[in-house]
Amino acid sequence: MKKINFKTDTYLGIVLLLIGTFFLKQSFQLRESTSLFPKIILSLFILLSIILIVTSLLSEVKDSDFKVSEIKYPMVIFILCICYVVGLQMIGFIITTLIFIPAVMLFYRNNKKILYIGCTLGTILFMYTLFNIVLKLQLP
Amino acid sequence: MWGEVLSNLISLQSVIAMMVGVIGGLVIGALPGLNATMAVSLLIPITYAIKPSAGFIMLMSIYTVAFYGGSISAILIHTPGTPASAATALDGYALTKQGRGLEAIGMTTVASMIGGAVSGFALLTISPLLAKVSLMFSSAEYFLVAIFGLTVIGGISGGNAVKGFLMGLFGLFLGTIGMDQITGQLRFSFGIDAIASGIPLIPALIGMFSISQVMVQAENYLEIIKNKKLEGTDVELSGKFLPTKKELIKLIPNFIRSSVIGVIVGILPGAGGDIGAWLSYSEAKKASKNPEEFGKGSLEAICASETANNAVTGGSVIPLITLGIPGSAVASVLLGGFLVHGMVPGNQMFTKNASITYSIIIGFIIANIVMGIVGMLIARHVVKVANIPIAILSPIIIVLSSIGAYAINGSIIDLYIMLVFGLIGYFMRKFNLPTAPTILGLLLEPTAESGFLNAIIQAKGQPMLAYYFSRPICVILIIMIALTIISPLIKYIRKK
Repeated sequence: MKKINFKTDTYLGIVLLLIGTFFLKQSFQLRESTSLFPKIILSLFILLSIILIVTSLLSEVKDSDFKVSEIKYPMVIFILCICYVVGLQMIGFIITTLIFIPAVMLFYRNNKKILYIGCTLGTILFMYTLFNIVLKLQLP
Repeated sequence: MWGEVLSNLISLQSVIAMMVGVIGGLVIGALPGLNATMAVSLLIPITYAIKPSAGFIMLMSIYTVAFYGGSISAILIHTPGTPASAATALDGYALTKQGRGLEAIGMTTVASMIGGAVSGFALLTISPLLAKVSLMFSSAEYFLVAIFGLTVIGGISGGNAVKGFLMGLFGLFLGTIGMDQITGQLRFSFGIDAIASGIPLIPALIGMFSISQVMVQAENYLEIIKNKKLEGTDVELSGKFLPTKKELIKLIPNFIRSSVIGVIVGILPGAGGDIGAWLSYSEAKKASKNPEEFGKGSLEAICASETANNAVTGGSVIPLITLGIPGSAVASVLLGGFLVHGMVPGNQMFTKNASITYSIIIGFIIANIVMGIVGMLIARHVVKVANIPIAILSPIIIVLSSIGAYAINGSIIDLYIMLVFGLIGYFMRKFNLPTAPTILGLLLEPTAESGFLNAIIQAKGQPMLAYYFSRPICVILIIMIALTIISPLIKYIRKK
């Protein structure tokens, strides 16, 4: 009997299986005609996630392990992005961007102060001209 | 009509759009970490405010020039700016080490220009014919074509076919979210108003490709804060640049073969520049009189891979504008762009929208030639762009993405969608789940579902299998779908 190991893909398959099952249950609440296509798609989805689980259990190739430490910095960036969007919503483009660009540059420990000012102003000016004047699209 | 085409092409907007596309494409292509898919998705919102012909000329210019720019980085600093340039990196960098880097760039310039222009001509000649074929298409055929596109892109992109198909299905599912087209019933929206009319396409695209990319780059945080300069970017290049006439004549068979390979690979839905480049590389090696030079600095090799990867660009647009099936990931993004402008792929592109379509195609051919000329002028300096610190790039990309996503509907909610898809996109990449099938599924869901349901109606009570098999085009499509699903299976069994 081949060795069965749980790998990243296995957990992934299980998660996908759960997601698929959840939505499949949801689709039963829909009227018949609208639920047909989703039901087919979700059923295939569940089938394939089971295949994924099985093939990864049987596979002898070592998967890349998912280390939580790897996602630390991307998460920081993501949170910065959330702040940016919220800022856009509440304060508007110019001020939020004014704070945001230096914030990210600080995060990456860039040391050239001139770059800070130059890039921030440059980007804001560029976007402003491009969107407001040339393209006549709205800015938040 | 041709008068309109001409006036479209010489309008100021088109000329500026083309220059922006060419220079932007060079810079973005040369920057490792940014790719054409991301650039095109970022710039689609800008096409809203300008004429569609100008807008798409810009996007397609970026598409083809980005591959060229990526090759410059590949040759000089052994870091392909885009995956399609990986084949060039091998021989290109070898030539750089021999002091012949400039020759390699010269070859790339000529090859990319020829490959791109040839694919533009293919686009011009083949598409109208294929569009007529699409007239024979009815609901059943469209459904199958959508499925075919998804199976190919799921099977080929990123290795694991099961994951590819899973992501295609996931995309289709995402497409069902929101109001159903026929009955208006809300599906899977859980009371969230934002998605009641479906997931907005462009913000999802921008999130999935651009925001996730910025997050992926942040993983190298510890390396980044060291602020290292990339080696090789300070090298002063000298020596011969362009290939001589004699060399060019000897390479004609190579150019022809590689262009054809590139166009065909491009037409195949799902196969992109990287596949075209490697296939052409191996074919050139087989046909070469000096195969042992391949890998050690063979100009023939560069000619093959570069001609092919640019030829893929035009080829991938052929099924896009005739059948609505994108030939590559970037083409999927272009599809989104077309749909948003109300340009429906198919015969319409050559009848109602003919002047726009032909403007775009001819603009594309011109852009390739412009690329060659611009390349000859500034190629050696382009690589310095790779030194721009991520510290500056990241915030700029985020700002561009956000404003772009916002500008479409003026809705902040689109920005939150962008963030959500950024997160989803990031985790998909962490788990090696390919993103292209998801976007394609999202894009193609309306086509697939309406095709499916309408086919049932049109079958008028016949059992569905009998109906599908009674239509010749459907049978061909079913066979192709079956082949695409079975071939990864065969590969898997062979490995055991």
